[in-house]
Amino acid sequence: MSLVNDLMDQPGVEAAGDFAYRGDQSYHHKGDLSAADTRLMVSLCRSNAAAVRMEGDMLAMFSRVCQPGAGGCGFEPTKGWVMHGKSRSVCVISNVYCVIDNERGSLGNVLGMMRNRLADAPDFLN
Amino acid sequence: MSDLKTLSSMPGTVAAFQFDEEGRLEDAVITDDVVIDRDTLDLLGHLCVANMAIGAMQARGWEGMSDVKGFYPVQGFTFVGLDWSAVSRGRQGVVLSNDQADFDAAYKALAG
Amino acid sequence: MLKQLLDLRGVQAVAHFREESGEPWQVHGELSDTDARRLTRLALDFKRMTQGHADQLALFVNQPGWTPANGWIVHGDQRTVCGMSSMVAVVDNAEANLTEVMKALAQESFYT
Repeated sequence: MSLVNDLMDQPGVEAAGDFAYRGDQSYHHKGDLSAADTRLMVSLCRSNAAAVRMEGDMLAMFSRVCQPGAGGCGFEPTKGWVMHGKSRSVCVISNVYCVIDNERGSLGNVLGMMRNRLADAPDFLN
Repeated sequence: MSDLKTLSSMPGTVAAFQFDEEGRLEDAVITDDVVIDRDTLDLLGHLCVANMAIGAMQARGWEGMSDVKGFYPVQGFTFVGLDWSAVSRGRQGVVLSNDQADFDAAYKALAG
Repeated sequence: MLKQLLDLRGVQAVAHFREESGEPWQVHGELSDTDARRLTRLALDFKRMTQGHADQLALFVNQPGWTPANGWIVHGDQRTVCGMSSMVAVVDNAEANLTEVMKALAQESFYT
């Protein structure tokens, strides 16, 4: 997957890959994570993708600004999430993840590239 | 803690907010009340706390098994929606328009 | 019969939903159409999230018995929501016996 390769070319990106929405499968992976770590990463990305989708659904259902005729709901559908760790962070957009070093990487560049390239991803959880 | 007014003045920011340990909204500065309201910020506060807790569980479990460290303690969580994102750190967050957002600057500013 | 779950003490509503979309197949009890759709959509989302977290827990603790996740319960102040497979029930905390409700949901999902 060229996006995975392109992400790896960004400064501070230590690993990148994709994940299937069902089952702990990954089709493309680059970086220094071991096979066991990759499996864990894929599992937690899939699980968090389900969680943030639910939260997007909740915002759409329960937030007044998301109701028809109101300001419009810019949170839903959910595109992704970032878990900001102490020195490393995990970024996910659609079904692609990357691990970045907080000091060397730029969240803006990475998220910008991912959002651009995955703008039309179907994002089906099934 | 950062000043909410300062946070809300960053480009693309429609709101800056502060929440308690459970996510309940404590204070907010809203710059565009057409796209965001206090009730939505209250939901987003809960969302940030929930995901930081989930992230902490994952980082804890991960670092127990892997040599790759640096995730724990989890310090923040960003929720990326189609057009808007909520960036949180500690007990504060900002809501940004994705098109104008500078995620790095927002996350740094939230450090106070 | 899913409807018979309403005969259990404290059960206020039950629903069976489509695995792929969260749309309700059957809803019994006092829920508006809108609330029934919200409930089943959130039940599907919660089911997926719980399954994912259970998978991770199993990896982190390296212990069998946690997966596949069968169900979940969210304990509210006065009401509780129980999910099992593609079934969900809303119960009154003061009256319901959760064990009884979870067993009935499991049995119902087994025959569905």
